[in-house]
Amino acid sequence: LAVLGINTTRMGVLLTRSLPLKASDALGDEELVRRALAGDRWGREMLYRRHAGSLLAMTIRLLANRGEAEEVVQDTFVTGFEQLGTLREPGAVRGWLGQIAVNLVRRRFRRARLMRFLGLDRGADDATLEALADPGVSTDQRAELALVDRLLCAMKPALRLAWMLRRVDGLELGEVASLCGCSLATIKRRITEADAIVGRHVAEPRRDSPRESDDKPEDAS
Amino acid sequence: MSRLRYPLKDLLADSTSEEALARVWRGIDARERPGRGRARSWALASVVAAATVAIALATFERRDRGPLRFADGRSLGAVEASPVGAVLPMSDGSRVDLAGGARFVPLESNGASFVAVLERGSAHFEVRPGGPRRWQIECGLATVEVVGTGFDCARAPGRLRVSVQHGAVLVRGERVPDRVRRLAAGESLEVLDAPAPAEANRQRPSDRAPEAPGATIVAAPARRDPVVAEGAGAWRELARDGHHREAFATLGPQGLLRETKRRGVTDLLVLADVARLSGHTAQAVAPLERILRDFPGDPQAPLAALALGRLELDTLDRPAKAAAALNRALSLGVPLSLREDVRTRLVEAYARAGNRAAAQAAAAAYLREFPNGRDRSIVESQMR
Repeated sequence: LAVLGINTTRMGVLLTRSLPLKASDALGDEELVRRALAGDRWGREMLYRRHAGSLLAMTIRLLANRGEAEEVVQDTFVTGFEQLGTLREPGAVRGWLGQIAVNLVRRRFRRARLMRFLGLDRGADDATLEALADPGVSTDQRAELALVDRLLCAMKPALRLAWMLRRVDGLELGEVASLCGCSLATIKRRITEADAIVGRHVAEPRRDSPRESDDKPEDAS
Repeated sequence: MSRLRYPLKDLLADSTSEEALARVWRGIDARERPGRGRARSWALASVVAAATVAIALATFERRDRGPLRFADGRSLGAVEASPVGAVLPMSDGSRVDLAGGARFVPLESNGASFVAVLERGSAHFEVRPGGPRRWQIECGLATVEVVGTGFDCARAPGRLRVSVQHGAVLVRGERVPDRVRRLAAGESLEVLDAPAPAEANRQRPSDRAPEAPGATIVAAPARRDPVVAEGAGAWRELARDGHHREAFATLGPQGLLRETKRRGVTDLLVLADVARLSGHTAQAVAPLERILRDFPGDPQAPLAALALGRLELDTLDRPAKAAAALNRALSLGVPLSLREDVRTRLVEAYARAGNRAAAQAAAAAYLREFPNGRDRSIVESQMR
């Protein structure tokens, strides 16, 4: 590491865009987890470095609030590092961290819904879909994103979470089920239900994947 | 046709930044190594705090040489908890939380030891670390010995379950494997009143499947318990291997109902899991309700009530039923580690059911029990 110019004792130094990542890139998650478990702080930071970006982006989109998303990612890694020893498959650390993050997001959804119910809304979100829209997005598209934002606000947390992971982040159904900790059938049902809510207000968006309702869950309860 | 296309992410700009990632990492680093960079000020504060604690402890120890008493100075006596439970603060700083209907009888107490019997029901013990007395709790099928720790004891006819939250305990008894077991934090032991020496289920946290924190899998310990298995149907084997959809397909809706009527607590919890995890959420209600109706004294009953409350509140969107189940969880003596969650959910359930008075009462109960709880700010709003 010294040869690579990496000072393993100063963690902050590593968080710059010019960081040479070749050393960590050459190591798989399993090796990084092994090192982290052995007390190697460099291994921990490389795990963070490798997975934090995508987790932060996902939680920002889910929560529509940058500050809350940063708190969730921080909690995710603190919890993850504390419980790393319980991870049976070190190679699956990415999905495992995702499950932790989604679980924390779900709690925030529940809390936010209760606060709204009690008239204690936390105020304006700074990372709604409309706010995150690419500068190249048309005015019409931006207006539709704003409408989707409003629909999501009123949606049950479980539906919102499943729909966003599928329709906003574009994850496979199996991934969504795994992150949400429920069955494929349940996820399909939730996405179908959320699709119907969105579909009542927004003309059906184009999609590459088939409808979830084409593959019906076995239970309609 | 909408102008949008899935995934919507393709229409969004990159929302992260190096600054944000660095900020989050600094937060993680600070939480993992608290005090770094503030070492001097903390060192001074630590010296002052240590001196204060030492003086307080010295004073406390001088006062605490006789028999154990209740914190208000009364002599110890038998306590039978009301249906909502009872909290017994002790003179040495320890505390006993009795679940509803539990009976706790102190037998002997002096400056070096305290012996009591949990005659029935469940209780959570918080024994002050470093205290002057060795605590010994008789629980029928076994004796729990402890110096400073937090643990739960749950008695039911023919069964005892001991779970340790922090610290360690020794569990002794004829039915305990090798007559004695040491349990550390996160471990639990179930002792059955069987003709042959009972097996015991001992789980270390590292043996469990990784699970996302905050997702409490209440049925898991019992499901993995080979001792309490009551039969080895194909559905049960499938469920044990995590094949819940296949297990449900083997049972069918009618089969699940049939099994619900004739199975014991452990299998009922598995049946609820089979229904829930195969996507038949509504059908998970029946097995959980049967536990509450026919096995209210079982150590798993409070957790079944909590599972039912969560199901009704989060998935089935029936807040009034959720409130009833959560109240039942409290009255049955849900473990202390889960009580705050139950009390918060109860506030939410009443609020969502439109019962403002009950929500306020539930909020008041939360604040009495958890004055510094993590959900205090939300719950406090109900008091206004």
